[in-house]
Formats: sequence, structure tokens, C-alpha cells
Amino acid sequence: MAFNTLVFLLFFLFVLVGSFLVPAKWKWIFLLLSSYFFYCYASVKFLIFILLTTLSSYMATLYMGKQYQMERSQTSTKEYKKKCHLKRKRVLILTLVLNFGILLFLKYFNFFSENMNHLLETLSLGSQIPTLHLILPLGISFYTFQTMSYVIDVYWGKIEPERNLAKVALFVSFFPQILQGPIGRFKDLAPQLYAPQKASYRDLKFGLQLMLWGYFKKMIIADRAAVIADFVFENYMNVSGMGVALGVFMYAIQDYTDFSGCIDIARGCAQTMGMTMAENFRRPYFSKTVSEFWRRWHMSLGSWMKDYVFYPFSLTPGVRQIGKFAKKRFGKHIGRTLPIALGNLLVFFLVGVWHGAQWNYIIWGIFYGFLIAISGLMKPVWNYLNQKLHISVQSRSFQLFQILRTFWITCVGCIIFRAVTLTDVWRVFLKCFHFYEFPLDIKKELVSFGLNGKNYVVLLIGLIVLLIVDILQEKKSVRERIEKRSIWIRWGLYLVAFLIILLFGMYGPGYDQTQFVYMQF
Amino acid sequence: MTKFQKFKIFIMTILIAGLVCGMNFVMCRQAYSSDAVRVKNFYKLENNSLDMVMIGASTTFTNYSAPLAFKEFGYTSYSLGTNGAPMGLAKSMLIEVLKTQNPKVIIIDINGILYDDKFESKEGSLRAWIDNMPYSQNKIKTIQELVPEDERLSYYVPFLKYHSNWAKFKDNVNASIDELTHHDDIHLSSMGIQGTAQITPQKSPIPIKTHTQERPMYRLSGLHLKELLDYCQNHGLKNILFTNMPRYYSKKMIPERERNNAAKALIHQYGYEYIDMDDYVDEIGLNPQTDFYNQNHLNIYGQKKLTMYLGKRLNEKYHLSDTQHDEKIIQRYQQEVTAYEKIYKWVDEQIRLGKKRRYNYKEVKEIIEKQEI
Repeated sequence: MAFNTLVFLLFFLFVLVGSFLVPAKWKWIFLLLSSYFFYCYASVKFLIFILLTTLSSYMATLYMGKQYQMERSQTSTKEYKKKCHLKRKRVLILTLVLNFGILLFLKYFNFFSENMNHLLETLSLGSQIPTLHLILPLGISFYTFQTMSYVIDVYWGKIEPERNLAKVALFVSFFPQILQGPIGRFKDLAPQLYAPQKASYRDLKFGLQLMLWGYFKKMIIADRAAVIADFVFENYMNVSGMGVALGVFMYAIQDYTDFSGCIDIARGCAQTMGMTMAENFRRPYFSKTVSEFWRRWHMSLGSWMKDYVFYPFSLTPGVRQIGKFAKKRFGKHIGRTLPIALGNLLVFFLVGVWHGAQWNYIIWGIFYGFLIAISGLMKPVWNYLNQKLHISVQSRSFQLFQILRTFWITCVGCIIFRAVTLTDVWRVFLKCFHFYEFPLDIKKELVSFGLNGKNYVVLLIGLIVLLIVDILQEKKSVRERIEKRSIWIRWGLYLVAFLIILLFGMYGPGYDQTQFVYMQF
Repeated sequence: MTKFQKFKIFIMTILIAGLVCGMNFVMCRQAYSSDAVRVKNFYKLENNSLDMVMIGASTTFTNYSAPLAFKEFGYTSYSLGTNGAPMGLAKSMLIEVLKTQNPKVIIIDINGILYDDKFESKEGSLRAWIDNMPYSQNKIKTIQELVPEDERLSYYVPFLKYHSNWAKFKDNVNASIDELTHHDDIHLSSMGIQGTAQITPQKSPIPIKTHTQERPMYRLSGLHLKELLDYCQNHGLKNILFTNMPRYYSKKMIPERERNNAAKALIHQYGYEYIDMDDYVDEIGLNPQTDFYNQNHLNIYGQKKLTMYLGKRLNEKYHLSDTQHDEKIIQRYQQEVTAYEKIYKWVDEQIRLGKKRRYNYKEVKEIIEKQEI
């Protein structure tokens, strides 16, 4: 049930009305039933996996919570406390292995076996590892990460375990976020899910606004940009340099508007029912550096990686030792930044792996990890160069240069991410440098990408609107701005936005509604 | 939530619903399509005002003229056909006819049996009928029977399909205004006229009358013909006449004749009359050198000849002109005759000038409104 289908809109309408009609104290049960209906609508056979994750995390957190209390008890002996801690740790590892194991097996087994077979073939060793016909449950990457953050937080004693299994089930399966995130945290989301209160008028209004904006991004911009990007990446050999550069640019736009559009719909949907979900995008293409880009892009995954991989990794004795060694050998700066760089390399390698079983994703992750690591390590060099070349880093022109430079780097990232094979990555990358090569008949080439002139106009207007809104949003919430206008302007705006999506949106026969980019992850 | 806020939500819901309905009305139309006009105009006819209805594909309106039949024989008729209508649509059309009309004879042209299985579910051909008929149980059944499962939603909710017509927004608005102002309602039959002003001479005609060999029909069209015959028999419909419109044959088209022969045998098995016009080309007086605009369709000269022949034959058997119609209906049909004469004159001129012009709703409307006889 993708967000841009009629079935979802009917379902949402039902849940929205229902959430206002059911008594406040039963609201969470209603949401749980709705979420399970939403999940089962895709396929009942996926249910077993989400139930397994729910049940294992519920039992593990209860057990760990109990052990944690015993550990904290003043009457316990030191040895008993140590025993409790060990038990907690064992349960944590078991739960993580089970849940990440399922994810890894379903997502990466075939990738592993194909690569191993290739290796065995190269080494002329006969044995073959079979490839399996595996189904990938909907949203497994998202709900596994979300649930494991809850388990780890309980282990760390940051939060109390939830004693009601049904409530844990709701946290794991809450329908707006299960397909594409954002990856929520228990301490932020759970109290809102279980709170016996209904959404306010303002929540309803703001939620619907956010949904409209999400649909605008997805159906007006992303799905048009996708037509161009798909064509160019599949036929780049027969497209001019300018065409390939346009295709890459369009993929960068598609990736952002598709994913952030979906997140806006999800967040808006939750807000109409009185819940605020984690922010996942903060105008990432306005970033001045790659590390800033990653603080603005897929923020919930970034923050998950920071809390559960980066910090624990950086604090391991081995990494600290490396830091100390580097400090002694190369000075204070390297000593401080080398563990961070190593942490970033690991984090971005995992981010790449999280996206799927393809070498492209892994290289894409390493590409970003490497860039961030290098930029951190080389910071004194950049500062020195800026000083020597008398570059005012605060000037608007330099900031604009930084934004464009970062956008260009993310476009390179997009090539790695989108191209089918590594050879394609290299060829598309090289062809982009010939962006000044115009085709003989520009109009003919543009139309050959699959959009007619009128659709290009809609896309262009959509992009201008997106740019204006994002610029305004950088300064102050656009929704707050709209709120201050008179009712005529506000309502006019809502109706026009609704009409635009209704008319110019890409949906209906001949269009595959399931193609939300991040649904595949 | 305060009462005022609830009131605002209510008003906004009404506004959005209004917007959706308005857009649905404007966008969900095949603007300037003769098929759309022909189907929609059928529902504007007075109940029980028709003596004859012809059901089928394009041959029903290119080969037969209802206004001419009224002029020459005095009976009222209507060509309820759509371009490329597959055989499966005939039952749906028949059910719609019987809802509002009680004609003395219903002619079902079986052109649809020539379409293969793929064509039976061809979107454009199905939509020409289904999207223009009003919501009813029959419409839902037609969709369920003929449309592949994964495509049905956009037939139930046509906006899903037609919203992409925004590029033709202006045409849609104009067509909507015409519909709202009942602009075309005086020429209900004529507005659906469609054809090509052209002569395509038959180069190497082959004799077909004596070719009686049969060939199995395509699976789906054959099945749909059988279902139609079952429906007619189970509902005790006796006033049904099946026809096959004339065409000129090349060697390649022999299998079509053979499928027609198989259909003929099946229709006779059920006890229904079948007129194969290919067998009456001489009686009709069709000249293969002047009366066709392509292999399967008659031009306006051929149409005139076939209407005269069929009208006479029907009148003799079914006494169509005996019915006494209201003055209002007679008046309307007289206006249709005037419109037809204007169209005939225009098409004749175009053929003489060798312009090979296709004409449909848009041209027909202009001719009726502007041209003097």
C-alpha cells in the first residue's frame, strides 16, 4: 500500500476519522490494529518476521530491564551485579544476532553466495554455494534498526522496558514509518503513541499541509525527474554529454524529492493523529560540506549510526590506542581526528551495506566515508590554503561555491548509487565531464527521454517552487508563515496545491505506484 | 477542537469534494471524440423512441445512416457503436439498449469476431464504450468481464486515467460547457457521425460469395459471441438480427470470411437470422471502385446504398415505419435529416476535391452549424 495510491488514501481517511472517534484511551489499540492491517495488506507472509522481531525485543528488554534493576539494587553484591550485567549483555548480543541475522540473511545471503561462487570459479574450485529464492519483508531495514535501538537503549539503562507486548508491537509496526522511516527512537515516539489524547486542530492542519507538500514533491517532481533519470542511466551510451549531465542532475533531484516527499507524507500522516515524528531531511542540497550534507540527509539513519556505531566504536580501547599513537607520532590534530575518521569510514561502510546487497552501495558508502575522513584530517591544510589565498570563508560567494561543490560531490555519489554496474559508474562519470557536448537537436533528445514539452514545463515550475520553499524554510518554517496569512490566502493555497497534485500528479494506469526509491531498502 | 474549528473542517471538506467533483466532470471525458458523443447522446434519447438500434463497432456508423433511413422510410434508428468495439462489448451494449428502448429490431453487427484475443481487452476500444456509459451494475459487470484485473481500478475511478489529460484542459472545458448547456442535443444521431471523405478503389477483388469454408473463431471473441447468443436466448429476445457488413477481400482476408462463416453457423444454431452483406453486394449495388474508403468501411456513397437496401429489407419484415412517434421526436429527426444532408454535401465536395479528409465530432459540429445546403 504505497502512499501514492487510492487505497492508501482511503485507508488513511479511515484511520484519521477513526482516531478521532475512538475513545482516547483506546486510540493506541486502534492504531495497532490499523498498522497491522496496513502491513498485512502487502502480504501476510511477512507477518512472521515482524512478529519475531517484536516478540524477541519484548522478551529481551523485559529480561534486561529486570537484570538492570537487580544490578542497581543496593542489596546486591558486587559479584551478583557483575553476573547480572553479563546476563544482560548475553541477551543483548543474542537479540542483536537474531534480528540483524535475519536482516543480513534475507538481504545479503544471495549477494554473498554469488560473490563467493565467483571467487571459487576464479580459483578453479568446483564447489558452489546455492542461491536461494528469498523474500524481503517490507520495511525490514527500517523496523529492525528502530527496534534494535530500543533494545540497546534498554540495555544501556537509558529507558525503561515497555511491559505491554501490544504497545511494543505498535512501536515496531506504526504504519506511517514502517515502509521508509524515519527510524524513530522509543523515548521520543512511544510516549506519543500511547498517550490517551487526540490530535489538535493545529496538528490536523499542519499534518495535512505536510502531506500535501510530500505528495507535491513525489508526484509532481520526483516521478517526472525519474522518467529522465531512468532513461539516461539505461541509455547513457546513446545520449549526449549534456543529456547525461541532465540525467544525473535529475536523479539527484528524484532521490531527494522522492525520499523526502515520502517522509513528509509519513510525518504529516502521524501529525494528523497528534504525533511528531523525527525529522529526516533538512534541505540537504544547501549543505556546504559533505559532513553537513549527512547531517541533513536521512538524519534518522545518521543519528542511529552515530549513537549505536560511531560512539561505541570510537570508545573501544583499540581505537583509543590508535588515537594516542597518532597523537604521539603525527601531532594533536591527527591524534584527535584519526579515530573520528576511522569511525566515519566504518559508519559509511555500514550505511552503504544497509542500502542493499550491491557493490555500488558499498562503494558509495565508502566514497562518503573517505571524503568525510579526508576532509577532517586535512582541515588544517584547507585553513592554511584559505588564509594564503585570502579567501573569505564567510563571504556569500564562497558559501555559494561550497554549496555547489557539495552538490557536485553528491551528484557523483548519485552516479555510484544509481548506475547498474561499476563500469557504468565510470562511463557515466566520464561522460558527465562532456556536459558541454550538446546534441544536434536538443528538443528531440529531451523528448526522447520520455517527457514531452508540457511535462518539462511542469517539472521546471515544480523545481522553482521547491527551491523557493526550501530557501524560505532555511529561515523560518513555511507552515508558520502560512499560518499568519488570512484565511482566504491560506485556503486558496491549500485548494490550489490540492488541485495541482490532482491534475499534474503522476499516477494512474501505466504508472507503477510502488516505485518509491527507498521502499526497496 | 472548538465548534468553529469543526465547522471550518466541514467547509473545507465540502470545498475539496466540490473541487474533486468539478475536476471529475471536466477531465473525465474524451473531448471531441465521436464515440463519446455517440454513446452519451444515446442516453439523451426519449425512452422507447427508437424503431431500430444497431450495435457493434465502427461499421455501424460508417455504413449506415439513421437520418437517411428516417428520411427514406420514416422509421427512427440509432447507431450505437464505438470504434474497434470488441465482441465482448455487444452484450453490454444490448443490455443498455433494453434499459430505455423497446425497438422492433436490434441489429448486432459481428465485426468484433474478427478481433483476436489481445484486441478483446484493448484499452482504447474498451474505454470508448465503458468510460462513456453511466454507472450501473451492467458497467461494473462489463469491467469485471472484459478488463484485466490489474487495470480495473481506473475504469471504476476514471479520474485516475483522465487526470493526465491536463494538456487538453481547454478542450475539456469547452466540451464540458457544451454538455452543460445542452448545446448539441438537437442533433443526437448526427453528432456521432464519423468517417473519411475518400474513395479507395478495390484493386484486385476476389470473389467471396462462394467461399463457404469455416475456420474456428478466436477464442475470446468466439466465447463472447456465444455468451451473447446465450443471453439473447435466455432472455427470450426474438427481435435480434445479426449482420456482417460488406468489405472487399484480398487473399489475406480469406480467414476473416471463414471466421464469419463459423459465426454464421453458430448464430443459425441458436435460431437467429444473420445477414451477411458480403453475399448481397450486387443487390445493394455497391461498386468496389467508388463506395469504400478502406477495405472494411463504406464511404458516404456506399453508406447511402447500404442504408437504402437495409432500410427497405427491415421495413418489409419488421414494419418499422408503422410506429406513430411524438411530434417532438419527428421534429428532431427532421433536423437530423437536414444535418445529414449538410454533411453529405460537405463530404461529397471533399471527395470530389480529392482531399481525403477524416471527419468526426469536431468537423461534423462545424458543418452542421455553418454550412448552408
